[in-house]
Amino acid sequence: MTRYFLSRLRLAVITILGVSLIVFVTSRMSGDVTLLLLPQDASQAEIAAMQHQLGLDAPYYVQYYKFLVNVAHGDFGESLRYREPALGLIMSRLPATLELAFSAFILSTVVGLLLGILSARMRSSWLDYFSRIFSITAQSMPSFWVGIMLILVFAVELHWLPTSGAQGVQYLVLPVVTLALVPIASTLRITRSAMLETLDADYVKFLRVKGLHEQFIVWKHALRNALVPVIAISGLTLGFLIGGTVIVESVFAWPGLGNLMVESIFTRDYPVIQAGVSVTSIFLILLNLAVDLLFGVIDPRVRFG
Amino acid sequence: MGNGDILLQVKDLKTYIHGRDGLRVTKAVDGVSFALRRGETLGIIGESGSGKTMTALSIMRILPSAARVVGGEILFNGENLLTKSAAEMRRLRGEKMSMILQDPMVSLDPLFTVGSQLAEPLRTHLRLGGAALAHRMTELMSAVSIPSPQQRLKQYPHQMSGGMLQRIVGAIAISCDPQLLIADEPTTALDPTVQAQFLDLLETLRDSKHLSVIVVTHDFGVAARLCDRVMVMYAGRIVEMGPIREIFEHPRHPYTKALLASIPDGTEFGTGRLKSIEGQPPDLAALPPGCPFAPRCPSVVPRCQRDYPPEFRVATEHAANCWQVSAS
Repeated sequence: MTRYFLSRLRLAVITILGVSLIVFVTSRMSGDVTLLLLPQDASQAEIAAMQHQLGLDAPYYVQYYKFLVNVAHGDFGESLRYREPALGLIMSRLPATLELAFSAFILSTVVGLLLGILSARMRSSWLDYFSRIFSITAQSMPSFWVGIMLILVFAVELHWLPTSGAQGVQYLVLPVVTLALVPIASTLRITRSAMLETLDADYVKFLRVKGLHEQFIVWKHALRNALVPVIAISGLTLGFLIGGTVIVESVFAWPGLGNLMVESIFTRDYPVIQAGVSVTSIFLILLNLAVDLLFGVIDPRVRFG
Repeated sequence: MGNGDILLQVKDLKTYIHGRDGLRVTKAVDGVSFALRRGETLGIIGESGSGKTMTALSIMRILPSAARVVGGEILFNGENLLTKSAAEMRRLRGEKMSMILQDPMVSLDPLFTVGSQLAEPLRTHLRLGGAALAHRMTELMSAVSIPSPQQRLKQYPHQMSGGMLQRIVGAIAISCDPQLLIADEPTTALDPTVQAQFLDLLETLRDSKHLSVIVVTHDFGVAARLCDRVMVMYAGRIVEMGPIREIFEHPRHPYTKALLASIPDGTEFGTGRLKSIEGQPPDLAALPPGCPFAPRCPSVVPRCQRDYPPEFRVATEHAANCWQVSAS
């Protein structure tokens, strides 16, 4: 287990370095920051002075090294718009986004697993057909449209839930449902097919030979085996959810990271974009590391392999 | 043969597999009847697709969902298994009747230790726990001659060899002292050296636990090692049944003769050819009238194409379903 963990950890570190390089390079490629900071009629000397002040006249490897050192100290520079540390801005918005993403993750995992298991157990029943139609529909509807439709029906027409904002649990319902729809569908489909495959496996036949109760076989043995592929995609699901909040937050005016990122892109607030991308990437890499560890806990072949 | 001697009696068993469209019906087992005495070992021999495994699964009532027993009776200790509820069958399975599957590498759940999988039937059927359970598990592990059982019980299936796993599957199968053990191709997936060891073990277990055994196999060598009697199946039916010695020395059905002739005996050496049976087994969803072996049979007569031959008794316990036998 330790060796497995170390190899995963090494991969995570390499990935984080890779992300930092991409963030660094894309930010240099997307234009000269000094032109943005200085007035249009600035002289060559003024530009050179600014570049020197920002350290942009140094060779790239020196700049990258400095960037890494700064990042390691949590310094992503100041927001051009708000004139405060970019990382602080990101961190103040992160909890709202995580609230949304994790709620959607829990919802999609619970509902997807349950529907998937039941569809496999009751193959070709009305529930199975419902699940199939549901997952195709859910995966083909764009989230901004779903969000607007949900607002129209449940907020505008029925007045059951607020249209937008974030002042309590009732504000969470519509954005979370909107965000969770696609992952519910994918979790459902993977669980269903994994469950069908497992229930057909020889070891399940042998469990029946042993005279064990069918419920016991399904919920202890088959479920745990079917969980392996579900866990395998949960890292991807989390990535999808955190990325997906950008659109959903715009639709529901959710005061999270996504909204901040969209604003920052429109106003070319580079330090905030860099900090946002770095923080979410590192966060996702750590989550995937956790998923890999969970993999090892659940599957002894991974642990001892 | 008094009735008290008979553990299992199968009467006119029919197990059909229904296609997804509901139209195509494969007659996997089509009117099979036999009896198994207490302490006896019966072999079911045939090619793949002959219905031997389906017969075994029908007795255990663990058929795949598309297959269904559509007729007949399966009397176990005089009680018809086919009329038992799912809960009653569960109590019998694992405790009174058990089974060893073909491939030990996939017979155990990869995510649980072999110990926990051995404990399951003991907890469920015998309600064992604590020290009694631990004691019983160690006992079973030594019964299947697994060294250092304490360590082995904590291991996972992927950490063991096929031979070791099949022993553990055997230990699980006999854990509750069943009366009937069905072994479905128990050695097919094992290396030849390990095969012999496992057959030895099966023999020892049978004799020490007074098991009645059904061995499903395509291998006459395995049958010769273990069985008192064998029945040869072809296309879902029994074509010949008799004591193993009789079948070996005086096979009467052309199919049995062909099977025996296809066993390599060394004379093929250098010829570059193994003897095989010409043609293909028939499509069980579209069986012709008459004998299903007729298209491949070297001694076919016109009647074979028309009528299915009934059972002709050739010796006390030896019978074959062939018109040729009736003629002689």
